[in-house]
Amino acid sequence: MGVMLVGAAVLLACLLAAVQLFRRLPRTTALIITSGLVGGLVGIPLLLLAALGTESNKRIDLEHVRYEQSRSCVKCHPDHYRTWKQTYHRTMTQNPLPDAIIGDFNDVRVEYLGHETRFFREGDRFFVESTDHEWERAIREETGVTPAQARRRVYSVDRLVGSHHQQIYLSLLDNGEYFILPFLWNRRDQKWLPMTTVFLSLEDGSVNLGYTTTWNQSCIFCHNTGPNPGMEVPGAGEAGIRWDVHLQEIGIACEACHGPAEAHIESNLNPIRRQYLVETGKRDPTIVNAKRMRKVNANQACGRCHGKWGPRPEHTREILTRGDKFIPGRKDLNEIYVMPLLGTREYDPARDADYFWPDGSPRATALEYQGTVLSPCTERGKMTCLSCHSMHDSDPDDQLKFPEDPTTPELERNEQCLQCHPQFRGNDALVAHTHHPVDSAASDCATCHMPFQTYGILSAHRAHRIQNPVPEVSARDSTPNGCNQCHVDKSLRWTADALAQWNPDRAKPIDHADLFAGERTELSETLLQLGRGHALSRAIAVQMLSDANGLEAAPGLWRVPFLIDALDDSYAVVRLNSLRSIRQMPGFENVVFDHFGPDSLRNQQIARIWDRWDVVWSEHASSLPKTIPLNANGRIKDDVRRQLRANRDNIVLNIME
Amino acid sequence: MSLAPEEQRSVARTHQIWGWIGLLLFAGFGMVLEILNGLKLGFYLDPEVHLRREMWRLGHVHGTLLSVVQLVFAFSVSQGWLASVDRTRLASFFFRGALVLLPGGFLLGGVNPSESDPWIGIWLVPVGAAFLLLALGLTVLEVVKSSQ
Repeated sequence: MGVMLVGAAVLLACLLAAVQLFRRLPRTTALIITSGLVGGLVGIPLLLLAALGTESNKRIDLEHVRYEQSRSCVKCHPDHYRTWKQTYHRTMTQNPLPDAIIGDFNDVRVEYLGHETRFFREGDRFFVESTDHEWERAIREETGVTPAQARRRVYSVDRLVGSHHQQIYLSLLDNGEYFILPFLWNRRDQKWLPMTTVFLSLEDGSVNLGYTTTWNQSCIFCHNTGPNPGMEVPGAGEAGIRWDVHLQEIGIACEACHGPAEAHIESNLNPIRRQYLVETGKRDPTIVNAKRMRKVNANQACGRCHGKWGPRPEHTREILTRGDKFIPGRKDLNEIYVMPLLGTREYDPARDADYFWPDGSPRATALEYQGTVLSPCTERGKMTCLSCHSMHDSDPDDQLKFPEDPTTPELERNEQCLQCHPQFRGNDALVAHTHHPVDSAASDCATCHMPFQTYGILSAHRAHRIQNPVPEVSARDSTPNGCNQCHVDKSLRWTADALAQWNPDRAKPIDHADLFAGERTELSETLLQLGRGHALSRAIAVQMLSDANGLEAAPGLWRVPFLIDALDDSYAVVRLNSLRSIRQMPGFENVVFDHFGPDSLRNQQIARIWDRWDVVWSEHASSLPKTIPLNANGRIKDDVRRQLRANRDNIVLNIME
Repeated sequence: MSLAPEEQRSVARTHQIWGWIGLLLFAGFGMVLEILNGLKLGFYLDPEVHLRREMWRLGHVHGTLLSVVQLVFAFSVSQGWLASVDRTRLASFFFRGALVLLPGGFLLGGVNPSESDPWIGIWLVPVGAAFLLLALGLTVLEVVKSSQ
């Protein structure tokens, strides 16, 4: 309509001008001027428009298009540039500039396994002095080598990874490898942590060797735009692999999601083309946009990094030598990558056990894709990552499309879900659905339907497989469920009974008499998982014990002894999260515990925390429900603890996320 | 054919009216923009609509200046600096057209801008610019001629 009106106005103006010109000037002069006017103002745009109508439908092969970097995008997309620039995607990889470094390099010294590591700066350059990783590799098999004999090495900090939760430091080696330095800076705890203690895996007794991932062949792909590791395989008689890394842009910039932009920029220098695309709403085939993709492609656009597993063997060499050619929306991710997913032949429950619960739900962060596509909302509905998240219209902290604002009414928090489930809009409908007060945590859809099931970057995170709580599955697979993550003092049977009462017709995937017998009835499910579960269950349980929702639904200091007991866990991340939880308890805010310190030190510190607990318990002793196995002294009942530890799932987990 | 005094007065009068009314409207629009600024209204000041602000400011400035140009043209005509009736009438038409199309195009361009471009109403601007150039060309021609 607008185009018609403006076109009519232009034509009318030209017509009136022509009338005046022919009336007032000699015919030839009038003709020349009129031709110039009409030709220039109407003819040329119309011709271009006609040409563009055809051209803009052409799909361009973006594989052969050059990258242009985000600074080229800002001219036409200043708002998108601005909103992207404030995200942590942009700062995923950075050069080591003083403003970008968040770690403490003020000559800080940290000891781990008897080895000292020193963090210092000289002017605007940053360094880490630590045990030489090559020396450590060389003496790996030797016995009797002490830290005092270690060869020291000063590493320059040449690149940074991350800025949101933690920051990893890389040093460029002679062969072009960006070596991952042995400590990262953890933002939440404001502390240097050994890399071997930050993943859900057992420490291996080394400073440098436990974390084996190489930036050049792994991290580079998802943390940068247009990455090419440039692997150079040695020829006969030559030394080892060399790397000639080339990034189209450092960090996750515009073209990481939208594809290379050279053709887009060139085409859109033409104002008529731009106006044409805006007015017609047609898709610009010179660029990709997840908002305009089919559901499967839109999810893969994010899933490439939030779900990628590894390249297919036939593509590995090409990817390492020439770069990753995946362009969202233009290729099926499965053509290039192996994407283990329940129900596909790529999924091997045995091989993938570390990363997936037995029901196929992801256990690690960065596998959000696998969770999302398994959700009924995606399988049967139209949900994509962009239904809830936005790269440009969100809080950088979680990139949720409708930012949670504590001042907004409760209902508005669920806006992501209400897009497709409007029947739950309104207090009455919500309460009828949740069986909880409208101002409780259970009024947030995510509390029940996206429980904390995944682990990464040193804490448990919400599942992206959106499901109903099914206690039968929790009983079978020990999968955490939303109900018992708030009601941390309640047993799984209690949950099953409550759900059965609310919804007698609820489908039960498994149904047999002793499913909820014994400990499932007698013990708090959270404490059961903490005592008997594997490392991931324990890491999640200790976090849930201090979660605000859990503290509201099941208040009290009774959780402290269970958290103290978890401080001697064999997994460093469980110890760290226990410490974090303990410090949230009143009276325990300042307890001291070095979660990666030597055993003797840790045992002394634990003893001191027990002493503190004894004092607190003597002042606050109270009667507790049977599901919480504490004795009169405020200590965990010996027989229960022994039983749980004896039955503990000691499977070795290795979740490197 | 040269411009008769009666016609001179008529053209001058027309442009005085256009000029003063234009000044009233476009200077008044400047006041509106100041109010939008003063009240910090998002639909005018938000970064996402920076083009609206830019277009409307351009519309205000062009409208105001072109209104002054109308008055200058009226003055020139009344001084007898333009002699040919046809060229004067033609210049008059194009000046008035420019006063409508140039600022009008900018104002329309700011109605519903995209992130990178003004609304399609901006296409009135080059038409207005062509009108202004023609009017100026004709006026220059006449003024130069009359001075010889």
